[in-house]
Amino acid sequence: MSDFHVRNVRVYFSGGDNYDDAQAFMFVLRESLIAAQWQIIDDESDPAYNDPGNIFLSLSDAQFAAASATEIYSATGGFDVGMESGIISVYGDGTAAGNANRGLYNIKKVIDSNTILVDERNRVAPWSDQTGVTIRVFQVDNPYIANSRNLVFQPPAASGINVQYQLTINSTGSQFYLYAYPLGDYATTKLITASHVFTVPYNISSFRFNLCLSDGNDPHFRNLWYWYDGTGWVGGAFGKLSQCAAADPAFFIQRLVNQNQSYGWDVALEHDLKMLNETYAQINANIMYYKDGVNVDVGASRERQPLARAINSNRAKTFRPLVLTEASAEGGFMRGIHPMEYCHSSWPDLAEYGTDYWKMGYNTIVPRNGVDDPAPLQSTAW
Amino acid sequence: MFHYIRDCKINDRGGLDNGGMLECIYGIYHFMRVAGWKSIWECDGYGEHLSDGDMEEDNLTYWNAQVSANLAKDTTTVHMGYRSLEVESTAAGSGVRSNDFVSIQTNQTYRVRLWALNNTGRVWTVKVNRPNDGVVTVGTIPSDGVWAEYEFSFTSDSSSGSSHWIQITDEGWSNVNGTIYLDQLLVYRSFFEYNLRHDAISAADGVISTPDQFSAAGYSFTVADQGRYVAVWDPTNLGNSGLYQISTTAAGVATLDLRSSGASPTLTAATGLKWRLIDIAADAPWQQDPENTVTQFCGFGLESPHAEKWRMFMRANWNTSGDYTWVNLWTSPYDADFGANGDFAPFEASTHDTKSKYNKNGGNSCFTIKGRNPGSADSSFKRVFFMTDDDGSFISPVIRSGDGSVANDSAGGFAGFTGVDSYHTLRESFCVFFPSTGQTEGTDDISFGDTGNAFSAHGAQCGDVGKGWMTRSTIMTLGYGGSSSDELDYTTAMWRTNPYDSKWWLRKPRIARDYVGEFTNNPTEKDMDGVGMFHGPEQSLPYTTIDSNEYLYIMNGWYWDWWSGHEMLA
Repeated sequence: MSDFHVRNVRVYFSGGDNYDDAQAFMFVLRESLIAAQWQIIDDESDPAYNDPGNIFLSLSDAQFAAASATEIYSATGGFDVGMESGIISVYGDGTAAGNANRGLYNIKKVIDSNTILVDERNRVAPWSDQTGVTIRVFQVDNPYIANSRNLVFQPPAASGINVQYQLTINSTGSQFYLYAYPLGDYATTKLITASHVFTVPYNISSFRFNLCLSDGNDPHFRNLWYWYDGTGWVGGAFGKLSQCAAADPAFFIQRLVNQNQSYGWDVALEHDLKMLNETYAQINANIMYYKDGVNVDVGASRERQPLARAINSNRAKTFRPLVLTEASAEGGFMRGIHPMEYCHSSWPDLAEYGTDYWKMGYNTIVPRNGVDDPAPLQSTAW
Repeated sequence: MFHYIRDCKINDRGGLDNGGMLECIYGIYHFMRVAGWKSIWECDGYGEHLSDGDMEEDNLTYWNAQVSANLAKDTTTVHMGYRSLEVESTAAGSGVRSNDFVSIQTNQTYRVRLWALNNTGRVWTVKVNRPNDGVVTVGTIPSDGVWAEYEFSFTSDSSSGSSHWIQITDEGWSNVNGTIYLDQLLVYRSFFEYNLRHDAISAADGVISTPDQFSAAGYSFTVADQGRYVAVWDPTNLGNSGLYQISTTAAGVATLDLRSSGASPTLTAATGLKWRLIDIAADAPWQQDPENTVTQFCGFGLESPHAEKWRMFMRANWNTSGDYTWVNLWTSPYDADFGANGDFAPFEASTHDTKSKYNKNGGNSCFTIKGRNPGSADSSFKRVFFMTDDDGSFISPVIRSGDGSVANDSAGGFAGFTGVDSYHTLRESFCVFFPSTGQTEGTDDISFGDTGNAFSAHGAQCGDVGKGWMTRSTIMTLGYGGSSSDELDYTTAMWRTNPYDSKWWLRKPRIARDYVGEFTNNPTEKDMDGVGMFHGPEQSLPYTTIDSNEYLYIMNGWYWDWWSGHEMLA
């Protein structure tokens, strides 16, 4: 088993009230979670998830061939040209063989009713020969899921990780919120973290969607999405700190973007985490950055010279930062190690950072699925 | 395993404002010697008593042929530096004589260190001239065909300091000429290596008995030893090595002051230990000779027992206003060549920044440990801490003012290897962090600021070019906040233990080399690994232990690995 990646999937949505990307995001995230064997705990049974206007086709006999790098075949078939520009979700089954080709792909061309070609920029690794694969072809905007909807989800049952995360769209669709239930008690007590709010862009009709979901086997449980919407990057993360005390439910949520539509990867100050503390009260925590000395602000330090060297391909040594709870009576203690990698470097944003990472803005390093995983696109055009 | 001098109390010499630093480094010197460090250099306050003793002058100005010897400076057969002195004997008694020694004090014992390569098949004779008593033989140089170090001594006579000189001659010449090479000829009064009460490094007969007893087969402790210090090295038992003051003696056995507030501080029984007995109150350089000029600039050089044989020099630098003493410290990451004055050769990697554009430590030629004005509230004594490991891969000395309320009068730093990783070779892991010479008395040497005298900001680390030229380096700290107005530091923002395990969270210091990008290919980051150094929250009281004595908090967020057997005195 390995991480589940979505790369560069173009999510298109039309019309509506100009605040449609929250709904579109929730829809595509839910499809991704299902494909990755995460558990949908509560989606409020919004009819849009199963409306024939959104779900074009569901098949269980898709075939993938290593020799046909972007072609998917189904003997049952049912593809038609109206599905071009739609998205196909390829489900895994939790086994190494069954997960080989899972992911989300944009349909680039319908060859015939049994055969389609997908966008190679969505493929994070070469395909393997595989038959009997469950797939679904969908779009997200006919109809939209309703405002104010919640989506509650949990890592794969096989992981044994008992935590729930929740997305909530506000009443107008102009924002959505991310929460966590670190004690895994959504069904009972509902001890919930404070939210991170994500204010969505106005008047866009598509974004490039990227996602990494952990299967829970990695010692660093980190999950994040980020999309490019034509003006900048929007991102969020959730996971668990490592090297914590055994009894510490150190699950967190994190925002990788400024709240006020100032798009772009966020500054250090905003890299705050929402968690519960030892009394299960809501608490903020902060990523600690290296800097030049005490009483030196972090921003100035990070923007100094790159500590990278040519013989190491100009890459600085990465690190997983410490996380300190907020400066309050309830905080002030070191909580653990953040599961994502960071670096000090002037390495260009959006460029590869070795075989396993992409460098994003503000020295954040996001997971990459090896050398064949294409770069995140900063474009929503086809 | 780590080894320590832990909170060794050393009295300042009352009324004479030297800051106690000479006493402290005297104790540190002997601890390092029992730890396996090799003595490679020493000087008294005058430095070089013999001009061109390192033979680096490209002339024979300071050397005089005896009888009909042929003299030359040789650049091929050299022990250190660029040149040696080549002496070819052509007749019985031919050889070389130095110019007069300079600044020789009357009636004092002087030491001569000399490297020689004698392959003549004959023993050469070393003589010293004393004005009143004439030439006397002080030793010989056998013919063994290899570079070897020889040590001799002589006592100056009661005449003026002039007309003392050394002569090395081939007394046994018999029709066959012979050539000897001489290098690194040092003349000095020893305030360190030969200035002690008992040396059992070779005998290794020290015995520790629980809880705090020390004895030795070759020495019987008496009441006269009370107040003296035992430097002892135990390679096996954590917490046994150290520099201990003798509290009492009885039946030839010394009881050591363990300086622990623990209910039952105890040492582990051990035998066969290397040790030395020193009397700091009577013998430390300042105490031994209150004539300031002789002692105020004395110093020593030591070579690590580590496989890289890295070298370190310390030399006092007495402040002429008379209220405190600096100790300059300079290092090399390997057994680099050095001159008679203790300076490393310009072609070597070291912290002498005048030697190469890469040799940086923040703009000063030496690192500095600085004592505190004893005329102020902390005047009576110092508390010495020192940390190293089995093979001397690093050292970390810390000297604290005696008065606990003057916590900021501490001096210290770090030098040594910090662990190999995928980005750094062993050589590149060598770092030095000490405050600069520009320090203001009474300030926090041990701090993590980015300016002033913070030891963390005045560092050097080996680079990846040449021999590993020492390159400017700093210890980074942790914090969050995007601007100065909302910046928070790890050291203060963490104010309580983790509630789940009731422990503090410490971090290995992270080193940034060439952080201003001066040198191509040099910028890197690495952790200070395997040296028991940590960065963490500021505690309310310096020099206290945390996490059940697992760590010693020094000050301003700096910690050492510690162990459960020792709690600190207030």
